[in-house]
Amino acid sequence: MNAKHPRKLVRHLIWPSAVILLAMSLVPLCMLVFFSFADGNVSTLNGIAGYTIDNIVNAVTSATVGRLMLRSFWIAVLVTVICIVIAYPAAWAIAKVVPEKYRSTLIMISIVPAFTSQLLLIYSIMTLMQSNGLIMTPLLKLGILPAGTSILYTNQAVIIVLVYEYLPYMILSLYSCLEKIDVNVIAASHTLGANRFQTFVNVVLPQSFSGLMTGILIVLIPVAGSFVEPNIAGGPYSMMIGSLIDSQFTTAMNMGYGAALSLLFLLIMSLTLAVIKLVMKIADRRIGG
Amino acid sequence: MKKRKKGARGFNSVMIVWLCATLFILLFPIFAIILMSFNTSKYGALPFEFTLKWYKQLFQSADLLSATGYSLWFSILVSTSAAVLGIMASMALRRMSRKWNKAFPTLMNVPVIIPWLVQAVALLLLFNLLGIGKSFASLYFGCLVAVMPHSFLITYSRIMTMDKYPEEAGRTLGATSMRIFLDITLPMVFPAVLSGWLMSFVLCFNCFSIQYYLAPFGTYTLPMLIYTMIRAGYNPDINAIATILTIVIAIVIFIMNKIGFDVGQLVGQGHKEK
Repeated sequence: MNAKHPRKLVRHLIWPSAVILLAMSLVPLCMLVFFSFADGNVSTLNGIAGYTIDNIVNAVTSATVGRLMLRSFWIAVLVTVICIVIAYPAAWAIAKVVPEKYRSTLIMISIVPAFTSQLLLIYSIMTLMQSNGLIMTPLLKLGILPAGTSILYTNQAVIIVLVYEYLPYMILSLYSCLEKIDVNVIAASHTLGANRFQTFVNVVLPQSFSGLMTGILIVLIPVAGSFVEPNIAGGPYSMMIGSLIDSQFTTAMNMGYGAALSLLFLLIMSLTLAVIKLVMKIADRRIGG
Repeated sequence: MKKRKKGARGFNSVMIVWLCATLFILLFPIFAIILMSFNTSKYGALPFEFTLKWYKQLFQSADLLSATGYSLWFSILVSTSAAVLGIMASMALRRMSRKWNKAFPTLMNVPVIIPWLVQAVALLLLFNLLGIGKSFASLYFGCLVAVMPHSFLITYSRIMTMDKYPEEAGRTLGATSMRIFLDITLPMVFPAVLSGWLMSFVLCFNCFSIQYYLAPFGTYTLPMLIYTMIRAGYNPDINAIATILTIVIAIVIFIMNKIGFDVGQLVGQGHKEK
């Protein structure tokens, strides 16, 4: 080692991460543009057989693709909103209501489902939703639901599974943000005559925007791109854009078209995120400013 | 004044009830699976009859066990690599210009924001073009690039905010750079590295989409095997492996809680600049 500048040499430690990041993520993602022009499959032996613009034209003009995109983002927004509605009071209870010594334990408990494997979780929820499972049996016996019905293999099933999967992450990100809010500020707001609702809107909500944003990122993006849940728990009409992309690589074997679809999906997702960020910014300025 | 206090108590109990309900709903499927792993009926149907035959089947068939073993050691390998890379990059960034310190974490956020399906698809296309295709190296680098940012961002934000005086003191007293790193810096960032490691471990264990696309033919990680099993029909020994895994994870989390590990660190720090 060069004894004169050991502190400068430390800089080179960045290379391994930088190279992996570049070669394994940034470059492949940019190359999606290139792969979108591939005609048919990109195989290990022959590489790209030919080039065509049909993939992109098809992806943009197809009504099916448009419908699936719309449904995927609709489901993603719905799941995110359900997660926020359920998680906000729960995270608040852990962060501010429960005695301090129980906080970390409760957070640990709520994270257990997320830490067990995602597919095991999907599987366990599906077992519950079967027509002779733990939930459906009493409902059927009591005559609340007509015999033989099952919620499994419907759109609702997909949404329930997704909410289950991502709720712990939402609780965690909201908690880590709500925990930092100073109780004295809330007390001050009460003293100054604000009611509970006013305090929430003017004091608590603006301070939790960063946690909300993290939660939205952690939940919305993977949900919009999910294909496992609709494939396993959904029926023939609960396909999402992820399922269509996946099928281009596993069954239809048209990788060029799959690349074009992924690209389109990425573009729409970036737009959605930009809109969400803008809305949050405006809300932040309106309320917090 | 008294009225407000009463109102606050009512409000707080509503919040507590909400929390309990949420936790109950969250944990219910897991408890149900544990119960069902001891139930005779193949399809988790009632009435309940106690049995251990699914555990026997699990340990005899060995399919699920070997997949679990593979997933475990593979995740340990990937998350350890990610932790080492994270420390290296964070140490380097401390000595670099502000421009780098702004650009690098932003770039690191790209794999976080890209859905795993798209990341996996892009990597598969690249590896196919290069003639490598699905292989262990593809799987390793695919999972590594997906989890590395989480490990890096947690370690990085700790290293940037920590107290620099102990290191300066060490340097003044004539300690070598290596000595300072091992005796001062590493112990100080260790909790963050551990959180990052844990986060990467969980993510790597779970990154089904990437494993599904990049794992070499004939290799099954646990999520891949469960996916195939669920699509083929119900196998009750999944209940048994789920029970064992859940209990192991609960114990690990319990121990980490006891040694003062704050799980709240896992989220939030990494996304600070947003």
